[in-house]
Amino acid sequence: MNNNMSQAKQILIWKNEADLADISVNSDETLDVLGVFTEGFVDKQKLSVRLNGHDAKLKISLIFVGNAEEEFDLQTVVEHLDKSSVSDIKVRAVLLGKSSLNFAGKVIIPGTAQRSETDLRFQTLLLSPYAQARTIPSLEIIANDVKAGHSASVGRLDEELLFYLQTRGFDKSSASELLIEGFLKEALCDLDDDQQIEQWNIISHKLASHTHE
Amino acid sequence: MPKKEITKDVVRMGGEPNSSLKLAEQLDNYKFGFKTDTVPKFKMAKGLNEDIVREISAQKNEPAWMLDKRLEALKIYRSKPMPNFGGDMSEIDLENIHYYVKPSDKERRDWSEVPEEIKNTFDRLGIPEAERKYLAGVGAQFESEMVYHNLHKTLADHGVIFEGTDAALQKYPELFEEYFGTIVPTRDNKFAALNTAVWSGGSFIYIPKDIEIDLPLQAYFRINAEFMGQFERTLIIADEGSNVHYVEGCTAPTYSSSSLHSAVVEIICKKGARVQYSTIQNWSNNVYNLVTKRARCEEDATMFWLDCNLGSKLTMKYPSVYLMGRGAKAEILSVAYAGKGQHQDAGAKVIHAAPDTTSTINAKSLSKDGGRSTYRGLVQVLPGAIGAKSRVVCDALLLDDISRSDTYPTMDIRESDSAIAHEATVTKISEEQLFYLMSRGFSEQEASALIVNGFIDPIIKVLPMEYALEMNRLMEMEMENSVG
Repeated sequence: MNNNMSQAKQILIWKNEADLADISVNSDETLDVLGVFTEGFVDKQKLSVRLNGHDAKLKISLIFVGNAEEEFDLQTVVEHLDKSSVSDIKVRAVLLGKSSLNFAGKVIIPGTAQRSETDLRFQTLLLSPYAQARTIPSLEIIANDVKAGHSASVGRLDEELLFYLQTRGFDKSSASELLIEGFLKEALCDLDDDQQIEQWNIISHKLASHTHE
Repeated sequence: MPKKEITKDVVRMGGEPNSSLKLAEQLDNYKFGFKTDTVPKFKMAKGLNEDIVREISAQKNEPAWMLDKRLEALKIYRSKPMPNFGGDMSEIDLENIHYYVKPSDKERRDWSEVPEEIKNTFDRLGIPEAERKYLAGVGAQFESEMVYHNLHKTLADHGVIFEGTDAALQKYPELFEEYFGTIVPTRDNKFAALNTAVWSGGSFIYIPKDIEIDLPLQAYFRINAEFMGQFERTLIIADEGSNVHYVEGCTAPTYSSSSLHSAVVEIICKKGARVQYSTIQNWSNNVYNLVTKRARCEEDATMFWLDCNLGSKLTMKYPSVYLMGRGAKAEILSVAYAGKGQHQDAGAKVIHAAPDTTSTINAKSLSKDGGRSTYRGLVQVLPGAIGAKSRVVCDALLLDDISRSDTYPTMDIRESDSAIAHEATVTKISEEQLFYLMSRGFSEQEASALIVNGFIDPIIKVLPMEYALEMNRLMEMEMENSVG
């Protein structure tokens, strides 16, 4: 009998700045959070995430699509407070126009949270010469029996991939669209079909508004 | 002009390295912890004020502009707050420090003329005559002053300058004034201002155009007195197309009180030049090591920092490179080891300010017995630095459950046509690796030591042979009695 069967897996969806709320996950709970932000933040935001109990599992996936002079300024602190807790945080940003992302993500694993695992991943696509990204993925680790990693990358679309698609008959702009779609849609794969379509419509609408400017 | 090559006239060290170091000595917790009884020529009272700064300048017979710069720096130092990041500096008493201690009357060219007690100190540190032969030039700083400086004659004939910084101010005032404080301005931070106010000693190096020196220049820094502050100032100017490798080592006796080491290092890499700066920092566990190190790279120049931090109570050091010319390159490799009561807050900073610039940062840290190691870094790409590429990799190994590892990498990217990547991992020694090695007949301790050696191997590999051996020995010593 699989223990996990009895646990209800929750999916929380955030659509804008106002939805951001502190999170805590208790023992044996599993929580998925998806944030799709297509409008710049008005204020600097802080988000506190606590894995309170053992075997708490949390998956956060955040998408930012910025245009014009929109800014996203977010500070996130994830604390693992008990053993064998798992956090998986993925941030994907597509920045157009003069938009900017300022994201400080910190994960703390104290000595009480042995055998915990964390993975923090920031990926930013700068699609205009004026877009800017500042990311600080930090780790504070005291427990030694852990798996902790983070990575961050900032750059443009891969020239080789663009070229490949062009040799297959896509023009440059549809090739870029396809790559951006692939990049962002990965974050939506845990949703059911209807939700996936709904979220993608919001994102593609935002991306399209840029191309018609 | 064809490149002049200074050929090695000494065979590389082979056979038994540094056999004077007996195993028993190595097993001492900190083999450099001894002190020697020396009578300084001149020792300034504790504390810091304008009179002390004037006195230091007068002792050195400096030109007026330098005194003015020192006095201005003192004011800036007083006005700046302590850093609001990094380690705990509450225990440091900046008024209870001798800011200037002059160990002997002048700098020597001949080792036999160096005062006996000082010479003995350096001999005990394992820098015997034999080892010095493998270097193109050697400097030794005891307390506040360089006591010895010597450069291979062929290099001097080619116009290479390798002097104590004080001597250089007297001998090459124009070159000195042109570059001093241009890379690390007085206002940069509180401790850079303090250094500018009370600096003494350090190395001054000038490599003329197209000269490549294939043996390293070395400087050795030793704090011997209690309540001592050492403020060396190093300036390296590598002219177009030149190449130099500078190595520094640092040790101090173990006192119960704290000492302060606050250096400023400025490096200028002109077009196509390459400078490698290697540090084996092994201060005793009572030294606060607050250092500002920075290099400026012009077109196609390369700066390579190799930074090994094993000692000190608290180190705050972030070697930086400003990539100002097209195609300039920065490479920073570092190892930090934090044992009991130690905090290594080290990292790297690279500013990409020109197109096609590249940087690589590889930081490795080990924490044990409650030690704390921190990587704090910055990669910044300014608008217009088209085609900039940077890669940062941080790996941390935690050797027990009371030690701590932090990673604070900042990436500030303002140019879309750039490719920047960062990765970090924190792990322990894996049971599987241990089990495999133990099944092959290693004890748990040997197996752990082997894994740790493998972990830092990429950095050891780029050290000159003698230092690689020394580093391996130091790491083995630190790994005694540790279980993963």
